[in-house]
Amino acid sequence: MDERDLYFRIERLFANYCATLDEGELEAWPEFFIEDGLYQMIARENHAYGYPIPLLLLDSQGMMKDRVYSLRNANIYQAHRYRHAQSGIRITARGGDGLRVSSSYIVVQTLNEGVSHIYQAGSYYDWLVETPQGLRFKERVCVYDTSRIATLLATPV
Amino acid sequence: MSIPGASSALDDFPWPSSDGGEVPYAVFTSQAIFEREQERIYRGPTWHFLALADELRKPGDFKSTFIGTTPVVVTRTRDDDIAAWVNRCAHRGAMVCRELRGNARAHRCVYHQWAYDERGRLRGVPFQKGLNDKTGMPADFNMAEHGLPLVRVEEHRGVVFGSLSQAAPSLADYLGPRMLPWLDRIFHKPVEYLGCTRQYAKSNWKLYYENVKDPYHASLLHLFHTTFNIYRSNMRGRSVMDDGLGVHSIITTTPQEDDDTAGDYQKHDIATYRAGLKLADPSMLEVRREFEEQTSNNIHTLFPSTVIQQIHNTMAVRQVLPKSAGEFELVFHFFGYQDDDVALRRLRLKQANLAGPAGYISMEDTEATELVQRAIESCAAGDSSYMAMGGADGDGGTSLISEHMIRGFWRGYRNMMGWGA
Ligand code: FES
Ligand SMILES: [Fe+2]
Repeated sequence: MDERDLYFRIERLFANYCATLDEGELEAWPEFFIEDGLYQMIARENHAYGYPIPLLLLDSQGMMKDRVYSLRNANIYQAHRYRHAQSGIRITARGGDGLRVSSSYIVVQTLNEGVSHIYQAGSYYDWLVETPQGLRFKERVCVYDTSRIATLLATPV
Repeated sequence: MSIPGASSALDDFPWPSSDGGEVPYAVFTSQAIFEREQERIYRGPTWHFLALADELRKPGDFKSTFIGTTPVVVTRTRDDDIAAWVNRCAHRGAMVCRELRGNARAHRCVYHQWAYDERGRLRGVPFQKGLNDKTGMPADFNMAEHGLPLVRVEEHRGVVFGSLSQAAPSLADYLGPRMLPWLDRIFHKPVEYLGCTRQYAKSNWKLYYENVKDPYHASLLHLFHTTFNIYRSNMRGRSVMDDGLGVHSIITTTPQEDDDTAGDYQKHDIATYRAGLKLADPSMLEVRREFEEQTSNNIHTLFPSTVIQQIHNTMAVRQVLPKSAGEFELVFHFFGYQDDDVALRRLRLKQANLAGPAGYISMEDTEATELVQRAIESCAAGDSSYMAMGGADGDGGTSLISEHMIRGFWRGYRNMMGWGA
């Protein structure tokens, strides 16, 4: 495929992913992953020193759905809205088993009283594969620089 | 920084009752009380988690941390023991070590290049003899008298504790005979550090201490287990305080159908769920047996800054770092055992989903402490909380619907703050 077309398709996937989370449509979020896909968040400081402990480690679509159901029905946290800004998309490898893509993100969080703050800055390290539904995540690893999380993290970034 | 004597105005701070069941909200909001805590508790005769020895494997390995608000560096020396010092230059107070972690035999202050060894001893002062024989330090200047303030260190089964006080008893005496076996239980074989997660709460650190000594809230605030019908029939509980000041405590829960092999009670519970929902992927809760009594929860709070957690197979030391009357940082230092097999290690990483800033059964805790903080900022002098669950006195022992450990904490706190009951 033409490189420009490929970038266009990746951009469109990312735009839909960000819009889904920013609009709070959490139920649609696991659909961006293949069934045995991996979603992981890990602090930059652990990543840098080779420590494996994640903030979140969801290694199936089922676990992602459980996360969403729990957020909707079990967990207690302040109502909030995310606003993603993503940039610097680079295809770092391209082969028969899919695409490796890295990019930067910033998530601004707005709470009920109407104050916005930078909640998280980090990198996405993605492994994308072709499926009948188009490009999907086989892996999305969020390495977040903002290792000191403000209060708590409920919604995935 | 507190000015000596400034906190004496608090000597007559009024306290409503003596059993610890009514706590004036001012202790959560007053910066003057915060300063007095730093002086009497955090710089006082107490012990604090600094690191796991496994974080400092090679001579020279160091890590920056805090005891209360005091910056501390803990490091493995060339003699293979562990030392710690206050990270504040003996010259004019600059922070000497500016890294979170690293390896160094010498620590040099960037301001005027005073150099210290890994034990915090002063080893070099530029222009000590002056330049061209002019000026320089006075002839009687003795480097041995100008090292970094040392922190007392005790390593216990791979856990490194520090104290800023010469008056603190030994760690074993500080924790006492009721508490030490619980520490030994978790650290019964060599552990491996797996990394940390950190969160910042806009609330007073003692609200968190109340929370981790409060089994009453567990099934009421954290709805994850009940929502997914992961209940345990016949859960056995334990809630025990130390027999000294009463400021340390252990809470455990143990499922009773534990004649099953590892993981089976989980499947059993899932299979017997009522009309409710179950997890789409319950792999996270496949429990591996690794203790004689396989507690599902072990929350061991060591006053005033350390909580040792075992929830199923996820283990962590939680470090409480007060920043101001209204803020603290909470660091979860996760670990496993060095002999973990691949599957068990993977399970520990997965179960990290349960605890930490995003944890299924822990994210609500800082939410709750912030809800309290926000509401009490505005209260009138003399307003206080009310805790009576589990009776007025005594050690509940086996009850999980009890606030007796919180009341014990407050009695001990009052003693240390000079407001003795
Ligand atoms: S303040 Fe450290 S050398 Fe001067
Ligand atoms: Fe809790």
